[in-house]
Parts: sequence; structure tokens; C-alpha cells
Amino acid sequence: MGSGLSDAFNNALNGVKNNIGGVFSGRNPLTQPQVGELFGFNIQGAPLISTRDYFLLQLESWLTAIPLQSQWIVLIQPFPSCINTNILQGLERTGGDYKNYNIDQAKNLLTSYGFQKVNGCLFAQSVTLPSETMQTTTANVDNARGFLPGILSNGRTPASTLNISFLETNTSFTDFIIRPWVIAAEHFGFVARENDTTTKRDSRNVKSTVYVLQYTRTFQNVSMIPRKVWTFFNCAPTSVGNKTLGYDEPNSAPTMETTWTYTDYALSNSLYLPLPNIIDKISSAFNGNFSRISPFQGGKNNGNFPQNISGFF
Amino acid sequence: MAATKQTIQDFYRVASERDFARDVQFRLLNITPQGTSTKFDENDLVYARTASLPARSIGNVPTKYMGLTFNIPGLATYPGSEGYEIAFYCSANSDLRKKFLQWTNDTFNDANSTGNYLTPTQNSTIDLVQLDVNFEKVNQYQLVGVSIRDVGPLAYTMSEGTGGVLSFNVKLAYHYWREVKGS
Repeated sequence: MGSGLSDAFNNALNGVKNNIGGVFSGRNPLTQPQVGELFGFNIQGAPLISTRDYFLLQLESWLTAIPLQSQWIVLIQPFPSCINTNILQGLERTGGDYKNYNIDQAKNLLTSYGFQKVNGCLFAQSVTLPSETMQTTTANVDNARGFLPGILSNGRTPASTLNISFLETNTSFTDFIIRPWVIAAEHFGFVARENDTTTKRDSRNVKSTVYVLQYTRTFQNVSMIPRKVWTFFNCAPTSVGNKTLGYDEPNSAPTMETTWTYTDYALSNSLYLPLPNIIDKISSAFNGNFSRISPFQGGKNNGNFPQNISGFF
Repeated sequence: MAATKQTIQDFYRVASERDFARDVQFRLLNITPQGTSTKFDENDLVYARTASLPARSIGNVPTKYMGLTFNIPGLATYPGSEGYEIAFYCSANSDLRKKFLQWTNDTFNDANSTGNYLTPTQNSTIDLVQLDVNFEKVNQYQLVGVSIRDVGPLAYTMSEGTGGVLSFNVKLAYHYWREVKGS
């Protein structure tokens, strides 16, 4: 007798305790607070924080700002020395014409500092970054009735190819660098050679390192920084796509597809401190007495930059 | 006795008390952009020609039962928030237009791939005010998270022009708008 009311009281008390605990675990978010529980029903409170404004506030941080997707470059370092006229003409049929596979001049020009280092490989038009997948399987038990079987990992899927398409120009980067590279790679293979050391490369080493740098904005008139850097080790091109010539002039620039293989890859980030924001914030806290050391610093009562109180900068 | 209180006399009585909104009783109170060094003051905003109070909508979720469609209210949206348009007169040296162009460059400058990373913040705003006959503020609305989209062309007509004043349109995007209470 009377235990029903007592249970209701205890339930309500436990509900309050659970809800307070849920504030810290995120199960009871400040945007949708539940203040207690009675007879098994939730008792809801008024939102303590606006979901909309809180989301927008967090997007003000550099860490969570939306990046531009077109700001990236590709770096190929180095280009194998075996991609040259002498080796190619020695390996491939030339029909007695010394112009066939005479690629030295094109290679020297197309792999020069201006085309490859100032802003990465200028010919790269698109990159398809590989996926990452693991396999799973289930451990079945006979006569398990309604119980679901356990899961087991079943290995990592072999690295998928890196795909890069290159702009076709009058002197074709794809046909005078990548195509000979594919041929040389097949001739020389991927074996390690004794002349490959940390300080020098065997002339038959066809492997290279490909970097893909994804950039993002910082401030107006301030250079971008790489937000994500992909490094593909022991890379070599494995195919150059075919090309059909026709008599209709297409409305898009010509590109050539290539696929690359690699042994492994690494990924790094570049965290960025938006110093003008920080200086601005500190300056405001000290009544604007901090010196103006950045042209992008707003300063007291002149704030051009976000005051992200709860976010990370 | 009339079934409603919407007779001609009622209309005249209420209208004489409440008056009507006039198409000139509207101003841009301020434009406060973030992520740019550009600033606007009232000497700029006085060149505003036309602007509108933006809309707010509730989406419709049609739900069927035995052939009948029930219309259930959904979420709030702000129609046109991706391109809120304001028309400005153009000053002789295009001061105001240059400010908007500077804002576009600060957002992204294709010359050197620089720009401000900023997601348009809650502090990037446009305040719109409705005015009464004494030009006192009666309502204030704030567009939140404003960023620049288009700075329209200036259309010159050298051969057939009449010396008319030029104007240009600006499109700005915003996330949502809110009424500024007690203003």
C-alpha cells in the first residue's frame, strides 16, 4: 500500500539525478533539456541554448569553417631519372626514327621548377583520393536461435588506386612524362635495389612520392594554409587512359586520366591559430590597450572578427 | 445589425487610427559585415533605392490517409535568403560600389587565392527599419549572417543616354532574420 506513490517519488528523484548527469554526458543536451521523469514520462524544460545560434557560433571557428573544395595542388617528387630518351629508345621499338621516344627536351621543360614547384604540378586537373575499407565477417554459432552472430574483422582492403587527370597541352605532360613512366615502370618493376639509399636513388627506381595538399582560407590578403596533406609513398603510374579523336570540338578542356599505385599513404593536418582573432579578443579584455600588431586586428570597438566565446577561437 | 464589424464606417475608423504603410517609409539602418575590412555608414546607405522586408515560410508536409491529403506544417525557411537584393544609386566616383567589390575580394581574391575563412557570423548583419510618418522607427528587423554574393553591373548608354542617374543592384545572402524587440 502506498508503494506506488513512493515509487513515483523515487522515480522522479532518479530522473532528476539522471538528467543532471546527462547534462555532462550529452544525453541531456542543453538545447533540449529534460528536467525530470514522472510515472515513466519525461518532463521537459525550456531550451537553455538556441540550437541554431549555437551551431552558427561553432562554425565561426577556423576549425569548423567550411573549406573551399577547389583549392588543392599535386606535387610529384621526384620524377624518375629513367624516364629519358636513351632508356626509352633502348627498351622500345623506334623503327629507326630517332624522334620516336625522344622525350628529353619535353621532360626537362615539363618537369621544370616553373611547371612543378611554384604551385605544384600545373597540369593536374582532378584527383580522386582512395577510400579506406576493412572487411568484416560474422562468427556464426549453430542453433543460435534469435541471437545475432558476433562480428570479426577480416582484413583491410588493398589500397585502391590514386587517380589523377592531367590537362592536355600542346606538349603533353601525360604522353611525354606519364606514358613513358608507365612503360619504364613495367620494364624495371618495383624491386628494391642496392643503389637505393637514403641519400641517392638507383637510376632504375621508378617509384616516387606524390603529395596532395588541400588548402583553405585564413584571412583576406593572407596566404592559405594546407588543411590536409596526403602523402602517397612509392608511387608509380600504372595506366594512361585512352583518348578518342573526333571532328567535333568539345566545349571542355582536354584531360587525360591516369591511375597510380602506391605502397602506403599518410595524412597530416595543419592546425591554424587565427592570431588576429586572438589578439583582438585579448585586446578587448584589456580595454583595447594592446598594440595593434596586425593589419587585420580589429581592436576594441572596431572588431571585424568573430567573438566566438564558447568555440575554439 | 451587421454580422461583422467590417463595414465602411469600421474600415474608415480603423484606417484613420492605424494608417497605412507607405512604400517610402523604409530604410537600411546599417550594414555590418564581418570577414572584410569594408565598413558602411549612413552616407553610403542614403544611396539605397529599393529594398524589401524578407519573407519567412513554414514548409508543408503532405501526409495521405485513405486518399485524403493532410497538410502538416514543417520547418521554417527564409525564402530568398540566398540572394537578398538591394538597389543603390551610384555615386559619381562609385565609392559605395567599390566597397561592395572590396567585400567580394576579401571573401575570395582569385588573384592570389586569399580570402577570409569566416562562416558569416551572427555579428554580420543588416538592420532594416520600418518608419512612421514622422520617420520614427516602428519595427526593426535584422538579417543575420550576411555575406556578399553579387555586385551588379553599371549599365551605361553612351549613344542614347539622357543623363539619367545610374544605379546598381547588390545581392547578399543571410542565414535567417529576426525581429529586434524593444528597438
